Amino acid sequence: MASIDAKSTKIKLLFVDDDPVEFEIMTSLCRDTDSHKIDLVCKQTIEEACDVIVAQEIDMILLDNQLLFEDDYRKSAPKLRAQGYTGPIGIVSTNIRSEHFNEFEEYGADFRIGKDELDRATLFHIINEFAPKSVD
Amino acid sequence: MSMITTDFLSDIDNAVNNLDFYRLYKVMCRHYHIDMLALLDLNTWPDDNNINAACVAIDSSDGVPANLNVLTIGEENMIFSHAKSSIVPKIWTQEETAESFDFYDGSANSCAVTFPIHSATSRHYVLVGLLQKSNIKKLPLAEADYHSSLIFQKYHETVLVPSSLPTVTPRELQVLKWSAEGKTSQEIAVILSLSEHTVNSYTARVQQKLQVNNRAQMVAAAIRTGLIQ
Repeated sequence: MASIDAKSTKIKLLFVDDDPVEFEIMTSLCRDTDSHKIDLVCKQTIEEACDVIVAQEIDMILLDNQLLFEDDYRKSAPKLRAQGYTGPIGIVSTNIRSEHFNEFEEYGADFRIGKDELDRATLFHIINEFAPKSVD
Repeated sequence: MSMITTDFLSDIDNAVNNLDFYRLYKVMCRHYHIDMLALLDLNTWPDDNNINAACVAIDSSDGVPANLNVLTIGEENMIFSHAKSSIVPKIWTQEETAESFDFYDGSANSCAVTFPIHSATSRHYVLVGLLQKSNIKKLPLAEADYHSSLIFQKYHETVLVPSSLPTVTPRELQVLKWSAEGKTSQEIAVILSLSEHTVNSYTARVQQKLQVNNRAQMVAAAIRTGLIQ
């Protein structure tokens, strides 16, 4: 006989993207399951995101690589770190293969993921790996 | 079924953390129509009934993965017993799969494929996949085995068993120095503008390189070997 471990996870996720259509996709990905409860906060600018992490306890941030009127993640991720945020930051992009993504750890990010790769199984895998918060 | 593209090979070269390897296994899932792919550590099994999963990739449109990180499996399990002793990939029938994967709902109507992996340092792993019966006949076993070995080789040297040489990267050295100053992971994360997760990853890598088990030993070993003063 064999068995598997069954715990549930509850986290607060901040998603930063300048395109509101992406919020709808992310909201769909984050719908609750028995194993994962995700409290999703969506913001369009890095300034709004900084306000959120100062005001609330955020367990993980998914940051769009290229925000409107911003440079890429190499400028925006350090702005989040400058607020004293020490949780995981993942960079999301339509083209994750650009060479500058290979340096993501140097800019305070924990991982990179392509938008086309981000399905529910992958999102839950990321949460389990970077922001596990078990609840009874 | 065509060979995986050169992007895939380039992604193997650039992979640096667990998630990068999860992404590679997911590419394998999609390419070979595999529903679930798990890299399992068989080193202490069956003496210990628990099998740890190094990586589990599930390809499903509504994939709500079961937590397969630790499996409790008896030594009579046919598929895992075979994987521990064999060196060749093998496709399993639906009946054999149902019997060995009775713990996993996603195994219904599936056939398993196993790619045993034995590292040069006598470490035993198996990459096990579950496919629908209709897809198993299309699976080019030798090609998939080749790709799984390419990923594993990089995974092994990058994450599972980093170089035992006591050389550290500049970032690892920074973490080491701040640890020697008595800073916590949280404090080091703030100082270096990293996440606590990344600081802990660097710490774990340094501990593996120095072959020690905790921070105090790590700092002592670093001073002893001259990495820090």
